[in-house]
Amino acid sequence: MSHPTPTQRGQDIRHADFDTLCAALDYAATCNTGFNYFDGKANLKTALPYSELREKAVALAKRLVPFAEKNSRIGLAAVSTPDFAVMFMACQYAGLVPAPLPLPVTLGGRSSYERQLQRMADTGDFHALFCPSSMEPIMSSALNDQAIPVMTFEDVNGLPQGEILRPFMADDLCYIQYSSGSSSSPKGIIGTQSSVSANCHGITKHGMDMTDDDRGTSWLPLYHDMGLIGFMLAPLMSQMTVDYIDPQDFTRRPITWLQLISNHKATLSYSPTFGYELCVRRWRDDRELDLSTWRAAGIGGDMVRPEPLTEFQELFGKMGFADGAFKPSYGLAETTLAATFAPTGQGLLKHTIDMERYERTSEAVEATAFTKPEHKRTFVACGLVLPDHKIEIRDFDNNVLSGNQVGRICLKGPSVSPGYFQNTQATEAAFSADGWLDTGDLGYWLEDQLVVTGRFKDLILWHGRNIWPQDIEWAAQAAAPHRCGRACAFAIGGAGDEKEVMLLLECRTRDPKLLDEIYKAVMAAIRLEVGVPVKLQLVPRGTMIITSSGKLSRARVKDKYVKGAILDLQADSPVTVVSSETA
Amino acid sequence: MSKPTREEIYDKICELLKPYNPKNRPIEMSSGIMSDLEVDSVAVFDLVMGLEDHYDISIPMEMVSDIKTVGELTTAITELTSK
Repeated sequence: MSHPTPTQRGQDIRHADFDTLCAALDYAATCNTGFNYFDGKANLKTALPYSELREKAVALAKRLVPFAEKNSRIGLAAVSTPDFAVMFMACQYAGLVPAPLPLPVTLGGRSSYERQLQRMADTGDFHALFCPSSMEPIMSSALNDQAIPVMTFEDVNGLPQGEILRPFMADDLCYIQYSSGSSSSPKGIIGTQSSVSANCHGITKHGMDMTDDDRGTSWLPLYHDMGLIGFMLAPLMSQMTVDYIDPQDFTRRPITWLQLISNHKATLSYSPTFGYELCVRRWRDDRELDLSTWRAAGIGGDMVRPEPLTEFQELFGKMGFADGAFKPSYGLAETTLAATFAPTGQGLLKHTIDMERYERTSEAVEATAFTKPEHKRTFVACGLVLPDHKIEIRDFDNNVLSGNQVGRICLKGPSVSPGYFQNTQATEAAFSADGWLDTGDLGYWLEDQLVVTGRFKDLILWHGRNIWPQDIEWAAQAAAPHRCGRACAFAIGGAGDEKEVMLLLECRTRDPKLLDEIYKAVMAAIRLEVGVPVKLQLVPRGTMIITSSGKLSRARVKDKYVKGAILDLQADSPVTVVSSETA
Repeated sequence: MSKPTREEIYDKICELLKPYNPKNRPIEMSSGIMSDLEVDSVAVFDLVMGLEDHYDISIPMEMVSDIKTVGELTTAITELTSK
């Protein structure tokens, strides 16, 4: 098939009002829509109409039923290819629980990837692991200590043919998703048929107001909730066509994402802030784009940072990117994906608050003309909570806060996961018996919209003040006179007020003179902008520990630092790897 | 285009690495791309993209995760262009 699937369904749109994913695909298969897979230069590789996806998934499911008992977990390499969609849906028709697994992404990153995979296999209790043949050596070497069979997609398609299907019903599980956030050991978030249906209904009906004319584009990795739920399961449950490029192709050629939107008149697409930032950085002004059809440019997955988004708006506004197209939203894998959405057309509703006041009283008070510039910080409203769901902002003693008081974001509703797979301790820590999820995030209300201010567990308490590590890190990166890598801030030392605030900053250079310049500039900026004395250590690139979804793991970096496993580039005997000088 | 030799590929890599090597350190086959040269994780994608475009190849991710040195990158491209 040489044409991508069309935008028009040829049937009535249904907004994920199905009990199960199988029922949703049964209906989608009667439509003309489906998934299209493009290469890094925006050429179509494969089109997979929903009708064909169903046919292949059902055929494969008949092979999977005799292969594994109901509810067995199948680790599934989350490649952005038709195979992944077919295998994921075959598991649904065979009553098996797919657990999408991340892929190796960085140059030379194989060994850390293998360690990550081992930890997931330990917690997931997999029956088998399915992957493309090209990845089989890496997967097998990662799991060589375990008795888990690694099978290529070809092996799976060659399993003996069975006769029957064993589809998941409304009360069954759906998948296990390896959460982003956390550190020490990955936690498998359980998705059920009902949590997925509820969230996909909320996303398509209320969050995105999806219509017959909508078409999605996505580069998001399918092992992450925003890619898997937002751009595979929610579209499937609402029969929408999606055009994909591989995340790897996106990082190499981010403009291809925009080119696809332009070529196929897409209306819905999402990215964390950095995706928009990358497009601005890589834009070469070498082509014409028409982004006027893109009515909802979602932002999620991390803190919404207004400055890079405003730059994107200014640059691509000339190519039709609409003023109100940005759609900030908030959610986490523990609530399937989404919890709040900015109303359509609102764009970036900014709120600049007085940080000094916040740190003293935990209140988000609007900055005034008298607020010093270094005490101002701008946040973006993430919108209204989905219908049938409730959000409360609570203090440390579980009292419900209102208005501009900052506290822990707690959430309840049909999208909330039942917990983490085979991890009672972590489940009890986050999910209360009365159905409330403690998200671990901090926020406040701006009228009826949620504003997210940071990750609660990373918050630094310093002399009675609340300090966001993100603030210190952003200030450091902005101030460094030479290009620096990631920054990481955390508190160490005694309890309460005796804490010392550490800041690590990755540097590209090892030249003592340049390092000294960076050190002085960053220390000056931190003193000015954050007003907290930090202990700055310049460290080599690759020091920071990043989660599978690309978020900085402060807890693990801190652990590494406390163990003395982080190099100081300015130490007395600096480590030089390549040097033309003689000693 | 005739198949490039290993030496030609090495020269091309050195040329693309030039912007990340302001002090003109000698680039050896054993040089670590991210550890010895000033190439960060974003610049690596520029480098990979430059090579893919020049040789009209696609370097698969499982191969990328195994490449640490200039020599390993040269070998990978030699293999891909000889197909």
